[in-house]
Amino acid sequence: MPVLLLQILVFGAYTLALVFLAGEAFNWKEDRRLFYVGGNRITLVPMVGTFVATWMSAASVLGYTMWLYADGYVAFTGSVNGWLIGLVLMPFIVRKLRVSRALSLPQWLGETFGDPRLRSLSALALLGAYTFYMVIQFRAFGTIVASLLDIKILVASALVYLFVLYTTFGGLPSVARSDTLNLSLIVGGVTLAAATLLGKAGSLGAVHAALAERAPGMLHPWTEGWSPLVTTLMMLSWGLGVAANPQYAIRLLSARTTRDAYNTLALSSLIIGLIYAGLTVLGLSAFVLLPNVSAASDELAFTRLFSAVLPPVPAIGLFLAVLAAAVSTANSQLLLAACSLCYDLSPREGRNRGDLVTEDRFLFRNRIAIAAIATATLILSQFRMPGVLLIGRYSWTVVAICFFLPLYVIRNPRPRGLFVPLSAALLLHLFLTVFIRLLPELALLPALALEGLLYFRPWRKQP
Amino acid sequence: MRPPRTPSVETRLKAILTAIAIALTGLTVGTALTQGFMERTAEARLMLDTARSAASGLEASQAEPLLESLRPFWKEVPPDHGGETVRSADGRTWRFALDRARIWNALVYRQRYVLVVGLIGLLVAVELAVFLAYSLTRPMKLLAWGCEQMRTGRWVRLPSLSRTPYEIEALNEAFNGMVEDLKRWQDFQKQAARVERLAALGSVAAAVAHEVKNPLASMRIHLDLLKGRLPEGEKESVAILGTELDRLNQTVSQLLSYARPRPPLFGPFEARELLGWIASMTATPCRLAGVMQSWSAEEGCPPLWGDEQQLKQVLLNLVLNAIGAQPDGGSVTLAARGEGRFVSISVADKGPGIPPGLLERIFDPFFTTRPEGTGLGLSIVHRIVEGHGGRIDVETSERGTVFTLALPAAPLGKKES
Repeated sequence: MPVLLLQILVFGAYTLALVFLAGEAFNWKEDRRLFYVGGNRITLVPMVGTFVATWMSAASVLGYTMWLYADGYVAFTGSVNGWLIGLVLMPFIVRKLRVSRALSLPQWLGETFGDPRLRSLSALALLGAYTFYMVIQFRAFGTIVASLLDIKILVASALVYLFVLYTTFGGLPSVARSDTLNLSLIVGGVTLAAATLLGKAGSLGAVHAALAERAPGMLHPWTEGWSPLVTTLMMLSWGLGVAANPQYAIRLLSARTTRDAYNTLALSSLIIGLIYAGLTVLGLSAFVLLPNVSAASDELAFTRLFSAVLPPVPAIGLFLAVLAAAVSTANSQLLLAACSLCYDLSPREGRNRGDLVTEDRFLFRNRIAIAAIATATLILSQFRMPGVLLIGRYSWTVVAICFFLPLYVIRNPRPRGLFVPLSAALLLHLFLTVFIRLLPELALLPALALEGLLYFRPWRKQP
Repeated sequence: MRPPRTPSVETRLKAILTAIAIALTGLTVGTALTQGFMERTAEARLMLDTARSAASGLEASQAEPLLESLRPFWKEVPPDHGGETVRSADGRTWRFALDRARIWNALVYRQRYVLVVGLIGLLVAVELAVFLAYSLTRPMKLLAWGCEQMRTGRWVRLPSLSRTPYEIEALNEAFNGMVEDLKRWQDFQKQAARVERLAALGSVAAAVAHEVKNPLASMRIHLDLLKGRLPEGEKESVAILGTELDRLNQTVSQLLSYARPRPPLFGPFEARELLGWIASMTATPCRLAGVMQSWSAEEGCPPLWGDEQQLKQVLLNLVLNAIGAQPDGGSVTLAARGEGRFVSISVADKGPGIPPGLLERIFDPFFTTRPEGTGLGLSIVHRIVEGHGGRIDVETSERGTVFTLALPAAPLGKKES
């Protein structure tokens, strides 16, 4: 069978699976709690599915693998290590979050500090951050499919647009179901590709031996371009960003029980570890088998590299894994962006559900917002914006500035005490990244320090 | 609402539209690919025949480059693999077989946009199915919710959804019409039950009152006789007995007037005079309770047509109730104005209002919230107003209560009669 036809058939099968496994877009008995947090009763399996699938974005699967292919283990030190630090921190916020019955992190923030301005500010930050972050997912999906099928990126992006739209219309229950399917594709695709490539390269020992001979620098956790200090700071920033990211926190809030939330973190860490191990094998083995593949973008290089080193079936499995990662992250972010717009930024929306008529109108507005944000993202993904990945990193760090301190550091919230420190931290971050040209991850640390200083005011005498 | 047990409208529509989309895409792409393959095969055969005919007149070395042109469609195979034979003039033989995989690959590449657009079409069909299902189930869900609310005793009105088909709009209107009719019917039933209850109560009350009134009169006479003979120290007790007997007599009289009201003696009289009389009668209780009193009658207000004594009783009751509702002071405002064939008289106070749960029962006999009340005052007011063919409305809030009477105006020419 022609490889092209096989690829299209695989995408078709994925489409049908998504359509029939994601369940219904419109639940007969739905309200805002069900739509945003699955009625706080998502069970362990879909919880793990949605947590890990959201974790594995196309940008991280593709970005980490290609960084590893280019620079070796420094990619692990600088990114995955930091992300895993974030994962290790998460158990500390489970109880804190689950005490609240909030439907969104901005709402939690606003209510914890008794300050509606905080809710609006953080919701605005989330709306912007996630919209731009979704552009990366759309772009990654579009570039890979366009390259595989030799079609225009717009046509390929239309596919991810429809996938994401379809799965997000049903709210978190639908996202969680589709994410479980996506996770199985990610694990299956990465494992199959890694096993095939490892078979071709011999073993991990053989890969290391080849690297030691051809590019020994790739085996070191630091490189000349990335000094230990910079790498550690990057790692720390990524860790703080992940730990405070509402797309994970909201999942911990959605679990049926606190025990399920803890079990989700435990099981997810194992699966995430397995996937990163697979990606590490892929990146290093691919370098050994075919070094010096380059292209205009990471997405194109990824497609060319693995089309060349893998047989058709494992290659399609790997590409499908990237697509599943893009869809699963984008739908989660789209839901949170719509929540920020329709719930947190709408002052008239109270915390409690109204009667069915009110809920129906509210959820209808949410669906309109989902369609509008997804359409805006599709349009933005077609522009060759300079530094799309950089915008993603900005988004990541802005979110961390909004939520890290309140979630992990502040134990006794002072009413209306955080707005000024948070605004100052955001302004400092903007100044450092735009005017001083500091990397967003590095600018995050002084911004967080300023936020902490202004909040705790250690120079003031304690009463 | 019961959880769904069978496939929903959305699932069914998705299945139908997905099947249609797959069938259409499969048919379109299948036809295009098959037709393309047949055309390519025919073209390949034509090329082979042309090459074969040309090669038969050429030396092997000259035929070789010519046969290269067959490569897109034909592949050379070993002699024992069968296939088509091409022979040169000097007797060299080549065997060619159709390269089906290559032809298919080229065809699929050519049709790739059709295939991807088919995939997009499939997704669009699913999204359409979802929205079609949504537009159908959304009003159904509202209707089911409305029925559920009705079942639990809440009267609801379904909102009209924007851009719904007229059939569903008709369903909504029918539901709302049904709710309004049922509500009217329930009000009517309540009213009928009340009338029935009051009639029964009236008969009993009349019998009891009749039996009690005569002994009471006798008791009063004998008490007055006793009063002169008793020593000074005992007179206070007798005075209390007398007050209580009077109170009992008043209650019995009210009961009788409620149970057997005398028919009104209709005649014309001025609302201004009625209001003035009431104001003068209630000036003292108002002053004692610290309540400001004011009254006004609209210029040109038509005269009333009714029983002046009964209507004085009505307004006196209402004003005294209004004073009682404002123990810490307030105001009572009486106003009269003409409204077509009726004269509207309102009695407004600035008391704490009537709680919503009690509003329906205030005209019921023996219903009172005051320990010293008989609970008959407002029942009598209601009966008298109804006896005049009038209407009484109550508006109440935390800022006060307004009783509005609509009483018949005197027909033209009756003023002087």
